[in-house]
Amino acid sequence: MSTLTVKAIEAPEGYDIKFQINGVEKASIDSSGAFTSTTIDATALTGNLPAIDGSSLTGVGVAGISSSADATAITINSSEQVGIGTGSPTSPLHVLASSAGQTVAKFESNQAGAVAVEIDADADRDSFLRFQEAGTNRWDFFAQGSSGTNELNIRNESGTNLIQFKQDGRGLSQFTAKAWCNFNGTGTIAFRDSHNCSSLTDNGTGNYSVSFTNNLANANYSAVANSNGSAGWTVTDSHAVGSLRTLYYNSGGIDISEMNLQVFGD
Amino acid sequence: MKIIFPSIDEDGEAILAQMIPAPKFLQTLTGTEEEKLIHIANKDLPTGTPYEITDEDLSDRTFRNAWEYVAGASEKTSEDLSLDDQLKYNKITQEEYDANGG
Repeated sequence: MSTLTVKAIEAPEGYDIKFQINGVEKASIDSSGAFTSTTIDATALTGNLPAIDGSSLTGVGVAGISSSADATAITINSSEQVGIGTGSPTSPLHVLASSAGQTVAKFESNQAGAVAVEIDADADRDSFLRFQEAGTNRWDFFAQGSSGTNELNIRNESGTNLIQFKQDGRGLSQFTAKAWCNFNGTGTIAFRDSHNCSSLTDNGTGNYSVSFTNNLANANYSAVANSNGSAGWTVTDSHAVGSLRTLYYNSGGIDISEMNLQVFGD
Repeated sequence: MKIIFPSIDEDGEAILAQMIPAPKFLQTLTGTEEEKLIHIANKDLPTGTPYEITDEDLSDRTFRNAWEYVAGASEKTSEDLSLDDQLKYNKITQEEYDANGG
């Protein structure tokens, strides 16, 4: 390849300088000093570039990133924290709304199947989603690590668990049933359906006990029993942390084809 | 299959009780059906209670309150659950579990 070295080019006022190869323009400097090139070989650039004011750069991007911003959109501070909408990020990723009611983050998929956002804690560590108001904690969705209770809690601003979701499907709170069941107390007695009940004991005619899969915290719970019978009374007694007895009787016990129990408590 | 064991009725008389597992709870257990029932017996019967596992049809409840438990050759006795299971079923607290070397 031959090289042409030009020591100096001087154009009169109002003229452009054009660089051509075989009659094809490759670059030019217009009368105002603006440089234009069809191709700049970045690998051939050496030396120091003069300071460039980024705010005057528009339509500039690198492979995989495009930008039409005309103001600072992303800031990376000296701690490698990334701010979007803020020039002072305080966490590895800090996103600040720029207008009232703005959705500050959106995760969307236009593909078949579910879309996921993952919070992945280290082994045996907790993870949580926190709702704050002007920096004050209000609510937490708190996932306990597997070495602990391995449950999901909703906590109030005091950090108190208001409801605990267990991996076995129980939801523990003051307002959810600790146990319930519907059983047939005739023939070979049997549950029709149940929650947190492990077994049903036939103690004699019209006399049944339900054992709970998981004990309650104490025996001061509220239990309600009802049946489809009209010839007697349905009652509960013998409240224990692990079981509850229910009876259907008149002058004596009567077998009943449908008995329902609901238990609320600690 | 079911668990039968001796109990005491309202009048203090000996009576046979039969314990039927909850299908949903059975689904959470592993092992043979007999192993599952042994686990339920250990969990829901007081420790030391004699019992038998039977598939005998006891659906005819004639003279139900006169049924009595008679020990058979396959009688077992309920035992304590493991500490892990006691904790799992809220039968002991975490502090009790830790204090007992759990």
